[in-house]
Amino acid sequence: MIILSTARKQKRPRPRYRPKIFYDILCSIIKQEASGDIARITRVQNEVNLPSDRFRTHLEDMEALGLIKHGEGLTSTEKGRAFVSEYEKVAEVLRRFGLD
Amino acid sequence: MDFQITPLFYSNIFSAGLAFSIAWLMLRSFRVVRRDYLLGFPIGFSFLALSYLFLAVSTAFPSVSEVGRWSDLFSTTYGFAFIAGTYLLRRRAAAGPFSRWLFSLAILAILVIVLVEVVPPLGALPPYGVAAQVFLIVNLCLLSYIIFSLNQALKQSPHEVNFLVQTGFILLAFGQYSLLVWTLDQGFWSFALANLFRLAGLVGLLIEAATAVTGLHHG
Repeated sequence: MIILSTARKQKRPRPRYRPKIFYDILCSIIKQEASGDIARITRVQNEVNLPSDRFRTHLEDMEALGLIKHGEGLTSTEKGRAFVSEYEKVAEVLRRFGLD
Repeated sequence: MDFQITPLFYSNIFSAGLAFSIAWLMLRSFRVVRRDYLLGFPIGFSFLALSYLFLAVSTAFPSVSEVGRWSDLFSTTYGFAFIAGTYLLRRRAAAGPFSRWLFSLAILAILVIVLVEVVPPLGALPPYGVAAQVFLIVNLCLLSYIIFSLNQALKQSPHEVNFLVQTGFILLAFGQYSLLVWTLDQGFWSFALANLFRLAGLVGLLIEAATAVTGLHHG
């Protein structure tokens, strides 16, 4: 009982929201592109720490939104890079206002 | 009491512009991040902007002065309630069902206060001065909660939460306090300071939001 209540009291990490997951995926892709590699799906998935089925679903959504291209590997699009830039600005506003 | 109407009118219009700008920047943040609770911020600042517009209208057109001043009371309190609600939901595990209940209860409590104030037994409006004092005290409580929440966030991440944001809300609280003093003494300085504190607070908040969005750094 004590163990249960202690476990309940421990602070769980907040679940990531879809835009944050998109941002993490794009950051991982852009980082690998910057180092001259092809962004491999498994490597990106490991970096963003998502189960395979959810990761695939997010990739499909991101491709449909035009944020990434899915070919031999994963590549970021202009729209995807613009999203990363916008997300970083917004996250900064939220951090400054104590809302992140 | 014979205040200059023109500076008061422009001060209110300027305040409304500042509050609308903050609301727009926060709406932009909401559109990118899409977290439910963040919607309280643009709604709250829009209510504040509306309240300053109501004040400006009541200053410029004495025929609608009564309606304008009452509308200002409501919208200011709603504005601060939505902003405080945003911090409440953020603290309560990011908008779970429990937080939504709390938020709804807070809104309900404000509604009850408003109804009790506005609908007295005989259906007549209470004296404006008395109602204003109640609303200003509620506003001060809401602002205290916002400042407390910011203080907690500042303790958790001192390098991220900005001190100027907290100062901005503190100045808004000073503005409400000066207005409360003004309802008691009807003095020039309490009224002038209330306007100055409000403007300074809004300018501080807008600078913080705008520099973050544009990627510029101040100081």
